[in-house]
Amino acid sequence: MKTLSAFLFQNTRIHAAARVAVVVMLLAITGCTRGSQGIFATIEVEEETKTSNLVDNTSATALVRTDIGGDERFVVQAGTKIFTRKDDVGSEWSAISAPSGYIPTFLAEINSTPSTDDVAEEVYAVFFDSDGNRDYLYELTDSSGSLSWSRINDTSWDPEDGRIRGLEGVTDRIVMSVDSGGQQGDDGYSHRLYGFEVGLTNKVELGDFDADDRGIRDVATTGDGDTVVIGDTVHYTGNLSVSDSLSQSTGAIENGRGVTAFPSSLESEGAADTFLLVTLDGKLYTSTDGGMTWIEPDGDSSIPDRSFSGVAWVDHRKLLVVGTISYQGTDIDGTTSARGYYEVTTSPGGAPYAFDFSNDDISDNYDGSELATSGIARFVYYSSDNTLFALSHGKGLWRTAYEPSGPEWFWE
Amino acid sequence: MTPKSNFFRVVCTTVLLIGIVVPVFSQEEESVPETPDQPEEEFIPTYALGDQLLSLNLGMLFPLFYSGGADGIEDANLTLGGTGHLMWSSFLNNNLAVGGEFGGMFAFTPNRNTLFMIPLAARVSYFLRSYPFEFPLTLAAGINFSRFRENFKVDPIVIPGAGFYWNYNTEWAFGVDVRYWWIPQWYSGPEPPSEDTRYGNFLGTTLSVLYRF
Repeated sequence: MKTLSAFLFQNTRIHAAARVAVVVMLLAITGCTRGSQGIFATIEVEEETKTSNLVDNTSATALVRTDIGGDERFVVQAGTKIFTRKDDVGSEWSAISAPSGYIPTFLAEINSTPSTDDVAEEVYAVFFDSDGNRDYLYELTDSSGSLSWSRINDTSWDPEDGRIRGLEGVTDRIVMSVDSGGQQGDDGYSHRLYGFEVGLTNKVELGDFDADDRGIRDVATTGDGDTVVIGDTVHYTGNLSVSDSLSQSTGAIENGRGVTAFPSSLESEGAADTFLLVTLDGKLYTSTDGGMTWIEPDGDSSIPDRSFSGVAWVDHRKLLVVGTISYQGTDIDGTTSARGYYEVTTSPGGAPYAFDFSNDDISDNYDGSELATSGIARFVYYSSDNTLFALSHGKGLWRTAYEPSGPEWFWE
Repeated sequence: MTPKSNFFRVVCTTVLLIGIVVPVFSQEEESVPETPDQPEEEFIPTYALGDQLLSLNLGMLFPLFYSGGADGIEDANLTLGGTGHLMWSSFLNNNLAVGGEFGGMFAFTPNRNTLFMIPLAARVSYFLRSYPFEFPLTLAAGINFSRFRENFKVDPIVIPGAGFYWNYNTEWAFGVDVRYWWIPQWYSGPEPPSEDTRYGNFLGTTLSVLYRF
């Protein structure tokens, strides 16, 4: 025993142990840290998130609200399925059967008038047929009390044979980007922007869509009909209330991922309607000329380490919510990680606006939730009942009433 | 976190402890017949420079509270957790030993997220005795690796503690340890912000198996 102890307590061992101790203490003192939140501080405020039965480990990509089927209901595209539930407390989600073998790719809603009504009269979805490698447009219908999809079959219309690259609803208009004629570079290839109104009326070609662009990312419209459609590298603008055409903006901002419009209540006297655009570079841009030109905000109000995606104006709180996503691609330098969403405040006063970002202490319910560290691709806000939905990357669908006391997020 | 799931975790942790500790006792019981005629051993443990001991400890961790936040002392907001550590010490004299330890813990938040912590610490122990019992008073200090969701942090840790051991023979002793984990988790900002600085306080109670050599 003593021999062993003599061996263990040789000076060289003591010195080596001391060196290791110094290194590990330095590690502790320098505070090797990864992550955006304090661990104990986050746990301290975590509250149990209430949940429903919608699948929670998938991405929600589109949400609409409609009264098809006789009851107000929500319809969401989550993963490879479309689900619905009535707009009642306690109602559970159930899948709407897709056409056999088809996978939904887009979901959008439309109303007959450009009103602020939150409940859509018609709902459309695009389904992809992997066997035939083509897309089909379907309308949601009520058949004997159950919801089903009815295929739109109009061979006289050009998009019938094309691939639908994007589908969005802007109050009284569906816009979609469609390419046809084979691959890019082929003779006869085209990528165009189409639109139609309720009842599949006024089916028109709104304009050429850039051949290099991957399709529609988002759309927004103001109360007077000014509309902005954004792709990866292009924007199309126009007033769909007075014209059936959109023209390509010369001042497009690359890597735009979300666009929304400011309501008139925030505008200064006589100012033009204002659009706000968010990008993968973590920047906000505003446009007061209907989306033709875009201006960076005053001051240091972008978040360079984040990639922005969804954006919405929360009218009851007079603030913007801007979602972050994780991104690793060639469109921006470096990689970014998701961190829920930012509340962005500004003041009336015209362009250029100045914005303040915050995503600390949004609410205890939010700070300790999965949403706080998730990517949020899109927001959908219903001003009629102050309900905000966050459509997340890989963490399902979240809902809250955006009260002044802070959001209480519910995990659908 | 439902009461049912809390209960399930407690039961699982207890079963795990029993599954590990009981075989150790069982092995000792099985070795008894090999020396059936030996007179019962009586000894008063004495140690000299270089005598060593190893101990394995498994048990429960009680999350207590955090301090240092704007709202003062706040509940730790974690379920009852599990903990364990492996400790080595070498005696400097009959009462004083120095060594090190390596351990871990886990506990769950209200949304079933798991906090993992792994302390690595140097340790000094002072032994009080009343045969056949020993009462080590210990103080460990080192670093603590914390992981929670996508967050990771290395912090200092201080672990004062006390034990109660029954000496089974010259080599083996069994007992319980009670240890207080104090973890200052400092942040300097901008991300995480300095406002997220907290001082974590936990209480660990473990069953211990101690082997001297």
